Amino acid sequence: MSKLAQVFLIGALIRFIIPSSIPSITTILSSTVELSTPINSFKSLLESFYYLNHDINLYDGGVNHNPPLLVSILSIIYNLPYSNILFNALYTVIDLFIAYRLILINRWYNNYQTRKLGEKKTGFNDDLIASFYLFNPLIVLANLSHSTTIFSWLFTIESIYQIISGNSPRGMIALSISSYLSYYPLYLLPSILSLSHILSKERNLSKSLVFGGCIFLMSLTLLLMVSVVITSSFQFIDHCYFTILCLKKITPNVGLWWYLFTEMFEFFTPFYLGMFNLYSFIFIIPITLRLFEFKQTPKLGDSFLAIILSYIWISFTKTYPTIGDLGLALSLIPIISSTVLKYCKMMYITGITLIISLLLSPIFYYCWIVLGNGNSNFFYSINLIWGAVQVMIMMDLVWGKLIMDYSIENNIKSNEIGKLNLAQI
Amino acid sequence: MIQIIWFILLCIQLIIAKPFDEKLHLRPLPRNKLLSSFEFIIESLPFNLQYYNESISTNSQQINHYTYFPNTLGPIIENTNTRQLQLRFTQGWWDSKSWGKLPFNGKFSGGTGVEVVAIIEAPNVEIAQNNWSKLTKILSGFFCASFNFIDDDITTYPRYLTKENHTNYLPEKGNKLYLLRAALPSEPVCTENLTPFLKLLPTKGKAGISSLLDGHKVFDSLWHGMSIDITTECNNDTCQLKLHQTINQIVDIMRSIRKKEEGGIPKPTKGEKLRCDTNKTFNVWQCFPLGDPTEIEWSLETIYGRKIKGSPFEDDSEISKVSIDYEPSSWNVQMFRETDTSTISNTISNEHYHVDEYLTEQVDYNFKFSTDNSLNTLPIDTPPLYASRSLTGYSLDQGGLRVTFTNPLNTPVEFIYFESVPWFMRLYFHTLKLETKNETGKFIIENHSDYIKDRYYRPAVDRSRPSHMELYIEIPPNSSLSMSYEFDKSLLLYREYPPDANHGFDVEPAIITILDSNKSRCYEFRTTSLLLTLPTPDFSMPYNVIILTCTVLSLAFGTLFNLLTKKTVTDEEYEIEAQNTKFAKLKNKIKLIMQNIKSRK
Repeated sequence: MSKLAQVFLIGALIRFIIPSSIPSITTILSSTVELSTPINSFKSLLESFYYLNHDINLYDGGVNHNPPLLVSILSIIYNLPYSNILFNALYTVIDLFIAYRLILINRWYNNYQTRKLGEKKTGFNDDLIASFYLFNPLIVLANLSHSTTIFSWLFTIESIYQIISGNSPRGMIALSISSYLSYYPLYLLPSILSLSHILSKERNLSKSLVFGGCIFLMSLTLLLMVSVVITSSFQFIDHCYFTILCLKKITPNVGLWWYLFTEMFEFFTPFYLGMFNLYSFIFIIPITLRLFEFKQTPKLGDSFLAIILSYIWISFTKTYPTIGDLGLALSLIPIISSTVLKYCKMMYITGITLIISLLLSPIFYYCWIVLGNGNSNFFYSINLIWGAVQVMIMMDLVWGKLIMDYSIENNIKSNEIGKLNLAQI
Repeated sequence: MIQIIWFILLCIQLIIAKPFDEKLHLRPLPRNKLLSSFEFIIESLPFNLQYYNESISTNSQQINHYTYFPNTLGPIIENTNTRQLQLRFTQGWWDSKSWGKLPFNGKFSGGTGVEVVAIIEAPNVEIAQNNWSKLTKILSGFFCASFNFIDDDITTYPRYLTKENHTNYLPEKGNKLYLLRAALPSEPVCTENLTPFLKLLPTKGKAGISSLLDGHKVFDSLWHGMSIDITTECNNDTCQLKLHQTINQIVDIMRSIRKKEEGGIPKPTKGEKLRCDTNKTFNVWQCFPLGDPTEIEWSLETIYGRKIKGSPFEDDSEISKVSIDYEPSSWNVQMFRETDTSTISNTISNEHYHVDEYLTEQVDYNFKFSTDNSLNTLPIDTPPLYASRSLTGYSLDQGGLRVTFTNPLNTPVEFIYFESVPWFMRLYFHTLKLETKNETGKFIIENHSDYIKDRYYRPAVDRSRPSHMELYIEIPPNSSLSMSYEFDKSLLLYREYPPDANHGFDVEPAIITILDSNKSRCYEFRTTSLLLTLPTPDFSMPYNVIILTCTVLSLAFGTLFNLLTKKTVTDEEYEIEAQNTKFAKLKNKIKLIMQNIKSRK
C-alpha cells in the first residue's frame, strides 16, 4: 500500500471509528468552547432537526443559526436509520475530500511556481500534505466535534481548486456556497478573484473581476432566494448572518470579540460593533493588492499566499472563531513550503506559543466554569495569546514573502539569502 | 311577555344572590399541623359591559355597580379590558406526601413567588400586550409586588389552558380573548401584600373571619398561599364581576403553642420540661427526645392571636361560615361566644366528620380544639400525581433539567405539563430522554409518543421571549416517569447581571394540570422553583478588557500595515537612508550648532 493510501486510511479510521465506537465524544466536543460555537455546533444542528421534525419554525427564536438549505439537506441524513453512523461517515468523507483537494492544490502550486520563477520548486510530497491535514490535531478535533464549519471549509477549498484548475465560474459558485454557509468566506472574494484573474487568459482586469463577481453575486442571490422560498420568510438572514455580524449570542470562544462585548458599556456597543466589523475586513484588500502578480513584475507577488493570509486574518478577527479555523490555515501553509515558508524565522516561537495556549485554554476554562477557582480573565488571557499567535504567523509569512521578493528583484543567489539583513523604510 | 318574565327572574336572582360570602375551613392534619383556608366571594351588580376604547372617550358616567365589590379594583379591570384576572402569592413547599391534596384541588394555589394570569379582550395581540403591561404596572402599585418587572421576556401565552372555557363572556365583534401569564419566582410574599388583600374585602379585616388575618401569623406558616381571582360572568346582556379571594396556610400547631407560651424568641427548654424517651438511656445527662406531644389543646386564638370579631354585617346573617373537618373519635371542638360580660361555650356535635357553624351574632367567636391523640386525623386524600423537578449538571456553562412524575393510583393519569424557562437557558429538546420505573424495573423509552401524547414548544428569543413548553403526558398506573433534557447557560452582558451579591437566577415553577376522563381539569399543582447560576465575567475588568483587546488589534494592524506598505532594503541601505531623513538632518544641524556653541566657549 502506498504511503498516501495509508495516510488516507488512518485518517479515515480516526474520523470514523472513534465517534462510532464512543458516540459521547461528539456530544462532549460539540459543547467544548474551543471547538464549537453556538453558530456552528453539532448540538444546535441536531436541535434544528428536532424543530424541523416537530413543525417548529427554525428561525423563530431557538438555537439554530445554520442556513435553511444546509439544515434541510442534512435532515435527510438525520431521518435515515443509523443516522449518527451516517454522519460520522459524511464528516469522514468530507475531510478526505478536502485532503485530496489540498494535494491537488499543492501539486499545482509547485508547478506554477516552477514555471513562474523559472527554477525547480519542489514542495512536500502528496502524503505529507495529506498528513498535515488529516493528522492535524486541530482538524481532527474539529471533525470529531462535527462542527458545521467543515462544510464551509469544503467549499472554500473546492473553490480554490476550481480556480486553479481553470474553471473560475465553478470556483465562484463554490465560494458563494461557502459564504452562504458561514458568511466570512465572503471576505476571501478579493483574493480568490485576483488568483482567478492571474490564471485566466483574460488580460483585462476589470472584465475578469466583473465576470467573477457577477457569478458570485448571482449564485449567492440564488441561494438566498431559494432559502427565502423554502422558509417563506426573511428571518433566517437575521439568524444566520446578523447573529454573526452583531455577535448576538455571546458565549466564550477563542476569539477576541466575546469578552469585549460582554464587558462593554451599553452606550458604546454599536460603535465598537461597527469598528470591529470594519477591522475584520480592513486588511483583505491591502493584502490582495500587495501580493498581486502585476504584469510589470510577473515574478513577484503570490495570490495563493494572499488567500492564506486573508484566511488567517479572518480567523483572527471573526466573531465566532474555533481552533479549527486556524487548523485549516496551518494545513494550508505546508503547500507554500518551497517558496515563502523557508524564509520564515519565527516558526519555532510561534509553534511553542500555539501549543502552550492550546494546553492552557481548556484548563483555564475549566478553572473558571467548573472549579470556580479561576475567573473569566484567565480564559481571556489565552484568547489574547491565541490572537497573538495568528498575528505572528501572518507577520512571519509576509516577512518571508518580502525577503523572497527582495532576493528575486536583486538576483540574490539562494545561498546568500541567509546572510541578508533586511529592514524596511 | 318573555322579557317581563326574564326581568322578574333577574330581580329574584338579584335578591337571592348574596353579594358577599366568606368561609373559614379548618382541618387538623397529621403531625400537629393545621390546614386553614379562608375564602371570600364578592360579587358586583350586573351591568352592561362594554369594550373600553381609549380613543373614544365615553362621557356618560356609568352608574356605580360595585356595591361590595372593591371600587378601587373595578376601574382597573374595566380600563384594561381584563375579563379575568388571577393573582397568586405563594411561599413555601407543599408537602403532598404528608398533607395530601392542595386546598380547592389546587385551583387557587400558585407556585413559589407570585403569578399573574389575565384574559384580556383586544382586537390584536399588540393591544393585548399593551393592556397587559398597563394592568401589571397598575397592579404592581396596588399590591406592593414587583409586577412592574413583568415584561415580554417572561410573558407566555398558554395554549392548552385556554381550551377550557374560563369565562362565559363573549368578546365584541372583531375582538379576541388573549390569555397571558407571567410569574416572578423570586418575589418574597409578605405583609405588604396582605394589607391590600384585606382592603379589597368589604369588612376590611375588621369583622368576620378576616379579623383573624394578621400578617405576623399568616406568614409564620410552613406553606401559605394567597389568591385573588376576578371573573366576568355574563347572563344575556348584563355581566357581573366576581371576586374570589382565598388564603390557605399550613400552620405548625406546636410552634404556635410555643410562641404563645414563650414568646417569639426561642429559648432552651428547661430540664423539667424535657420530654425524654425512657425506653432508651435516660439519666441526668442523657435524654433521647420524644416527638411532639399528642395530647394537645389549642384554639384559634393560639394560632392567630385573636378571636373572630363577630359576623361581618349586623343585618345579614348566614354569610360567614366556619367549617371544620376532624376525626370525632379523638377530637373535641368547642365554640366560644364571648362578649364583654359573658362567655358561652358549647361543644360542637360529636358525630360527623364535618361541621358548619354560621357566625351570626356580634360577639367574639373562638374555636377550641382538644385531642387525646393528635395523630388520629382524617385520612389525607392522595393527590393523583407527585412531581419533583431539579437541575442537573455541575458546570456553569451547561446543565440539565430533570422532572420526575409518580402516579400513585391504580388508574392512568393524564396531565398537561406547562413549563416556561427564561431565555438564558438555551434548551436542547433533541436531548429529551424519558425513563420509566414500575414494579418490574427501570426502562428507557425510545418511543416518546407512548407517554407524551401531544406537545407544544415555542423556543425562546434572546432578551425578548421565554421558552414555552406544554406537554400532554399520560402515565400508566403505579409507575413513575422521569423526563430530562439539557440546556446551555448563556453568558449575560455586563449590565444584565444583578448588581450586588446574589444567589442566582430563579426559574419559575412548572404547572401540572391533571385532567379527568372528560379532559377537564380536576387538580392542579406546581413544582418547586429552581435556582440557576450563570457564568459570570469579572466585573472589575471593563477598561482592562477594552484596553488589552484593542492593544492586540492595533499591534496586528500596525505590524501588518508596516510590512505591507514599506519598502524592503538591506541594513546598509537603511543606515544611509536613515541619515538622509528630514529628522536626521535636523538632528545633525542641532548637533552642529551645539558644537559651535561649545567651541566658542
